[in-house]
Amino acid sequence: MAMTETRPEPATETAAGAASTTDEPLTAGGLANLLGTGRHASLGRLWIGTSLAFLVLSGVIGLALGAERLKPETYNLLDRDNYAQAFSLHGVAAVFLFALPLVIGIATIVVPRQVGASTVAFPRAAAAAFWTYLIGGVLVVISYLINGGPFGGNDKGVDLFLASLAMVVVALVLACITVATTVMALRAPGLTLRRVPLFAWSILTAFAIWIASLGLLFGVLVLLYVDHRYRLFAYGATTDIDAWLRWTMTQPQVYAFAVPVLGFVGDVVPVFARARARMHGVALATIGAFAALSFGAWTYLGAVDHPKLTQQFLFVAASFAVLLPLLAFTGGMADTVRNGRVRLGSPLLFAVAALLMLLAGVAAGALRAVHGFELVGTTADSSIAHYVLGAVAIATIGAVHYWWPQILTRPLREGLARLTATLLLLGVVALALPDVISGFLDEPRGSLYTNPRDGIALLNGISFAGGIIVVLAVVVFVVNLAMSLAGGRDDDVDPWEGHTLEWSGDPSSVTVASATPLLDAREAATGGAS
Amino acid sequence: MTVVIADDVLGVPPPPPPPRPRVLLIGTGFALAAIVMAFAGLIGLYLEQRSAALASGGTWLPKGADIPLTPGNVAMVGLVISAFIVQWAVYCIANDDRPRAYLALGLTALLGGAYLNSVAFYYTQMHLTVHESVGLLIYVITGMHLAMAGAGIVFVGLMAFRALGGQYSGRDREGVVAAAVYWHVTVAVYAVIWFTIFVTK
Repeated sequence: MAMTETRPEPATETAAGAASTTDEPLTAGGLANLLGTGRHASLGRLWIGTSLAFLVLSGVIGLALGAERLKPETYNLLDRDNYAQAFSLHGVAAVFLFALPLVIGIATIVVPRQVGASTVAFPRAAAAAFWTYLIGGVLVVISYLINGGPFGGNDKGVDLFLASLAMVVVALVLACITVATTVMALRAPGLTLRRVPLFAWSILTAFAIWIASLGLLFGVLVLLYVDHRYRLFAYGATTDIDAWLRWTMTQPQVYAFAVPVLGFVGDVVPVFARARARMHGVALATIGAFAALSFGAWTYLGAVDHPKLTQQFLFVAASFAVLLPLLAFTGGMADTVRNGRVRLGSPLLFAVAALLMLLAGVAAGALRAVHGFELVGTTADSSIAHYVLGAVAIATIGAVHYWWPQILTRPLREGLARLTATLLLLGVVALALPDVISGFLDEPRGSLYTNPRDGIALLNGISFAGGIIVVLAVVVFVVNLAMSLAGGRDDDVDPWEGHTLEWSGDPSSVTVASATPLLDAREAATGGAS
Repeated sequence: MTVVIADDVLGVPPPPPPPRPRVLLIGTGFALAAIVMAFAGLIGLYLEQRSAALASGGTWLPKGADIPLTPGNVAMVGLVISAFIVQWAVYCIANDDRPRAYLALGLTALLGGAYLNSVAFYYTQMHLTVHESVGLLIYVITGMHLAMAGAGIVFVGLMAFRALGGQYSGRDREGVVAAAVYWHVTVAVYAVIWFTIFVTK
């Protein structure tokens, strides 16, 4: 039986920074080390912590917007301009400051280990990406505070918003490049692309889509900045900026932000089903197809110049076609569960909840694409975003629970974890489902409903309650996190009996021969019984 | 925990030797994808706006504005030559012909500088201002390409200095290849700009 094989040191960029970039504990001079760190685990934790802070910001604003909709015909807490600005900040913070960065943070920690790399590619660029994101994100928030941003009345504030959002976009692209390059170039010997874990594969496909679509968004932001900076407003005044960003927050592009959800589900389900994943190749293909169909940059002109884009055949066909790989993936996971011996654990709860929410979001998107329903521009738009980004939130918070040996090095309390998963599922359903129904009742997106139809106030009340439940779930998660961090370090590297490389003690020194090297090793050691 | 790989037990063949990482080349490819999409979005908008203006019976360029073709052609020819030269640099480094590789990389950077100069001259000839929508779009597109070309010059220069430091050879020429790929895409993007903006106006 061949034992662990030691790989040669990787050449080029990674070797140069290896001394400062491997995942070793921070030593003396903590702050200086933190500011200058290129360690992928430290950077990932910084991404996660910062994005959770922005989640709180987005959540609080979302609650204020929800409270405003309790009496949808009048402005109570906010005035018209503040409402529009708050709605805009809620969306921008949810997508660009929370969801994408949180996925990047988890990927930065987990993916190099999954593919057997000692560090992330371009560690200095990865560090630069985080600090650029942090500064850019803070400036985005400041721009709103000084009456800038979309719908803002302060021209310099609007300029600041456009420049700082462009900064955030560059940071996100840079971070995506480092992780995607890690998957492509720094895999362990024998770990072909057909053998990579589903999470690493989903990150590769998702980040490829993000890099392309965020690149396009950067170009648009530069144009809008120059347009606004010289006060020409040829491409829209402050009230139109939101329309230029809207394609990033609705279908199909918003699905692209949820591709890693499938990777998380695909890695968790076989482990908790105690079964070998069925049809790994099919799972890879369905994730790839879902990512390809979620590419939405081609709709960027639709919001401004082609209001009828949502009636075009391509848009409608893509909205339905994206359901197919998702259903096929779900079927594959169900088959794995059927052939296994399921044990209940919080990661499995998170995985099931996230997959259900993603399915609901994509199904709502298909409904929205049916022209006869006239859901475009209604609260159904928000509902899709809430379902899909809710799935991202559930999966990423679940990922922190699942990969705690890599992310926290301290276990989280299982009871609180299950409570978090349950609350998140209930909260996202209560938050998003009423908005689909409100959409059928013609409640507009992003503004008040001056002549509301019967039942709207009740639906908005349920949605508001859903928002409160989601916030409660996040509070439970943060409390669990704080208790975990206050506790002692746990050196158990494989608490779930995982199948893939990140669960080995030193994944950077192995050669692999299958998609599930640890499961193979375990079965070989026990004579075939896993 | 020690990882046990069951290749003997499973009867799989021994693994192939580890491939040489192509980190810089792949990272450059991803970065170029983002850059190309940025230009695709802007040029798509340009074509859409021009098409709408012409379809409504109006003119595209504002009165008094002109886009003479000669400076754009000169820039195009210069960049095409630079694309051949940067490929020559790759060929030279692959054959361990270091002096000619230095010369080729230097010439590429020099022609890149000439391109920046020619576009700056172009701006003085077009009589377009950033205070009108057409001018704004053209300045944003060409200005972003100037930035791309400037970054390319820095990239090529950096690889040239690394080569001077003895870092690249026939066995490992990844950095020079990455810089060459970047430069080729820079030239290709300019070719699209040259045709859609300068030639067809």
